Amino acid sequence: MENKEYDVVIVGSGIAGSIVAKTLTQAGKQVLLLEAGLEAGMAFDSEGAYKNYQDYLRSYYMALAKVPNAPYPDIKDAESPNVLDMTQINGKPDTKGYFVQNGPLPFASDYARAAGGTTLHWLGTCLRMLPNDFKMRSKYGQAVDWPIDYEYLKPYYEMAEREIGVSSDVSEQIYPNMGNDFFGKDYVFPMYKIPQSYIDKSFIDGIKGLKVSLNGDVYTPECTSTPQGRNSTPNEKYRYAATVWNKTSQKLELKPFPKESDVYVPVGAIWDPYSGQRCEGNASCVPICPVQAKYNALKTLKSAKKEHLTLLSQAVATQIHIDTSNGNITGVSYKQYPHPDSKDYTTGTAKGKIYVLAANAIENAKILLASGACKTSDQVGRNLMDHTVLLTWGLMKDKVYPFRGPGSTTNIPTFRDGDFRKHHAAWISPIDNWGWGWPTGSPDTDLDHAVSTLNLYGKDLRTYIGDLLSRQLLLHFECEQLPEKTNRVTIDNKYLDNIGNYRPIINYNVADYSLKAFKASKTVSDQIFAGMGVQDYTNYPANEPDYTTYDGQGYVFRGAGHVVGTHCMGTTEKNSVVNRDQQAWDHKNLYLVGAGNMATLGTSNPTLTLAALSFAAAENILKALK
Amino acid sequence: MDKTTAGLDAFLAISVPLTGYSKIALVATGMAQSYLDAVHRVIGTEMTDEYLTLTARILQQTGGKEPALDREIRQQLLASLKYGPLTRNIIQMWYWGAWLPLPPAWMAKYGKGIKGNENHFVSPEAYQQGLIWNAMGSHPEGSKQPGFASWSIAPLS
Ligand SMILES: Cc1cc2nc3c(=O)[nH]c(=O)nc-3n(C[C@H](O)[C@H](O)[C@H](O)COP(=O)(O)OP(=O)(O)OC[C@H]3O[C@@H](n4cnc5c(N)ncnc54)[C@H](O)[C@@H]3O)c2cc1C
Ligand code: SF4
Repeated sequence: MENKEYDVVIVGSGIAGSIVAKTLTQAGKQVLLLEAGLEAGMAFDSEGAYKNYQDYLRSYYMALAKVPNAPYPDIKDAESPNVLDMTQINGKPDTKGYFVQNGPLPFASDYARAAGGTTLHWLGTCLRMLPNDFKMRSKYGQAVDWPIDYEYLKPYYEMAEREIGVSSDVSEQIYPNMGNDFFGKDYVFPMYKIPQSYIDKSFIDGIKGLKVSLNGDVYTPECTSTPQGRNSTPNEKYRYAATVWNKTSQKLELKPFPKESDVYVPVGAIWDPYSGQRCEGNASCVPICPVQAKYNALKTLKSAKKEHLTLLSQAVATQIHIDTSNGNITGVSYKQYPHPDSKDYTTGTAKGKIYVLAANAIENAKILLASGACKTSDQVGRNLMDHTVLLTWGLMKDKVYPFRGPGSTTNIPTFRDGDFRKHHAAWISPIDNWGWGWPTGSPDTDLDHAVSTLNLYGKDLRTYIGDLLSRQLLLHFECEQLPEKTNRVTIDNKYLDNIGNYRPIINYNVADYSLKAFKASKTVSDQIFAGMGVQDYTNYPANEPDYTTYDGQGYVFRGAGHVVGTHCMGTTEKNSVVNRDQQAWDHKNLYLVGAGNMATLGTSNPTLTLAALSFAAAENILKALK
Repeated sequence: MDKTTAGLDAFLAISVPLTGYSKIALVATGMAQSYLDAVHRVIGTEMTDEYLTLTARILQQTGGKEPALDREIRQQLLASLKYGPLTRNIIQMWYWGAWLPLPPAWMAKYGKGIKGNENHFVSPEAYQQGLIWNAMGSHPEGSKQPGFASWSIAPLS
């Protein structure tokens, strides 16, 4: 390996790295992929893949706190952040977990360092960004415009929707200011929508006709089914077989099925194509889908062309090397650990014509900073963003039976765009299907309360549980953050991990632009609850890690797992790290992929967009390799 | 691990009024022996026997009839400094599958030298067999999946 020069070296096997690896190998390129996670997670033979996944599932069953990283190995030599490590930051950095949290508020999201990356525990919501999300500066006088627009991304969104296998009905996808041609004529998703939940139906019925006031304007909140990366019934009108590289036109294209009678086949589990061909309603998508009906990036990686792909696991990329004469990258150093928690490792350097960092926004920034790369703009590590999630919860009048089905199947898109973005953040409101699990730890906290405090047992306990837990309603208000220079990832020799690699140091806060949206969205929630007769149980205790105040009111927000920014794309080498081709301004043979490239966040969960961008990046790399 | 089948009948008998589920439903979880083993493992043979003798006496004296049974369960078990925390643990184990730590005051008084009192799921199966899911009209998250689109209608039972 030391001596071989590959066409492309990729760091990271999450969705971004896997899409690039699949696209390049299928176009005949030789690819080496370095993955920090355990070898066992890379098994693609039926038995190995099944056994490894059953280990994940067992860890999930046994975990007391079923947080996103609960099923996945906690590796000292390639640590992952864990939301359980979050605490309030009082003056000095919190170093308890993997992150060094400088605050003033703790960054509230995690990711998974394992083969397949964070899609192992993502929810799978797959919304496209809105046209105005790319034009925040020119439209609303906020942040920046992207160097690309919605029209540019549209064909790549279609490729991403095929790759992930998105289930949705186009006719129901109506968003503010979406324009006339958002989906293109006759477009359909690979599969029909995932059926909306019983809660959704009650909610939609309850909210019918309700008008809410916000900033002097009146809105009618609409509910739409949410596009999701989980398997549903194939749409026979869907006509695309694969995304392929057209050498002649130098473009990626969606290739139609060869025969009229061909239909889309849902992609099942990596150990068995027939498992998981439909979502079976396990209701544990975060942190693990037992049958892999939910997309994860192992599915993409498995379909890369094996003959052209070399996988190296337990290999943590540490640094890229720069030829100072022309800025080109000459190699990636990595440390390979034989055992997950030992201090031993061997080192190596991988070489290729082109290098791709796909380790996710925070790890990409770390590698760049450790290498002194992309320095011209001084933007590496900056502009870290997430959706700050305000939750509100209460009891519905009737039983709605939560804790069933995928995490969320319906959302309120009404506040995703509008003139109010001149003053405060936009948000999307998913309706949650899993009761109060997120804010209060239901259902076991309710059980403990019933038994230990209410002194219930026997039939009374059973009735109480049956009534309380079947009426729980939870709404999210996922508010966009704007890119801020001071929300950033840095590194310091003082903070190293078990094998001497940097731990991410995070400075993080929430600006007024988002805080105002907390106030605004809480007003909307209050009106919805009152209008529907929901008993409001929302409370924001001052001792929660992400407790903050605005205009005399206290709020608690949560992280959405949407780790965005840190190597944003832009119009010049002075204002950004990558150009519109996702190529580093300072290093012509270096491409960065993932949500780190996103210049602003909008109100879409970022993965569909980063997947679309990864196809665009793969196309640019193929052009450059010609 | 100490394993014993002695006391299983007594354990099941008191578990019926404690959980509000029938004996057949409890047996069907397949967990009764594991839960009794868990009790045994943490509090030891002597106290387990003592507890089950007491619960058997309560059932016998009341003939399993309300309101006497409720009064005795409350007075002799739930209100007892010694047996209250244990009884609440047994109830929660049936509902959630996990052992909850007996409180520090209890440990100081009755639990000297006791091991294994930390919060833990009895086994992966215990999590999947928790009664709480049935009580709320659902199924354990991540297991016993009810099938495509099942979540879009009210539960059948
Ligand atoms: C709880 C949760 C729910 C979410 N739900 C949604 C959702 O519904 N919709 C949505 O759009 N998004 C969602 N997300 C976000 C989504 O998971 C991420 O945006 C996405 O997975 C990122 O993909 P990636 O490939 O860029 O990075 P990752 O998936 O994080 O992959 C990075 C890969 O690089 C590897 N790696 C890291 N460092 C190194 C190194 N130094 N050397 C070698 N390899 C390395 C890692 O092991 C990993 O395999 C959610 C996130 C969380 C946490
Ligand atoms: S609901 Fe269940 S089967 Fe469906 S995606 Fe989620 S975990 Fe998988």
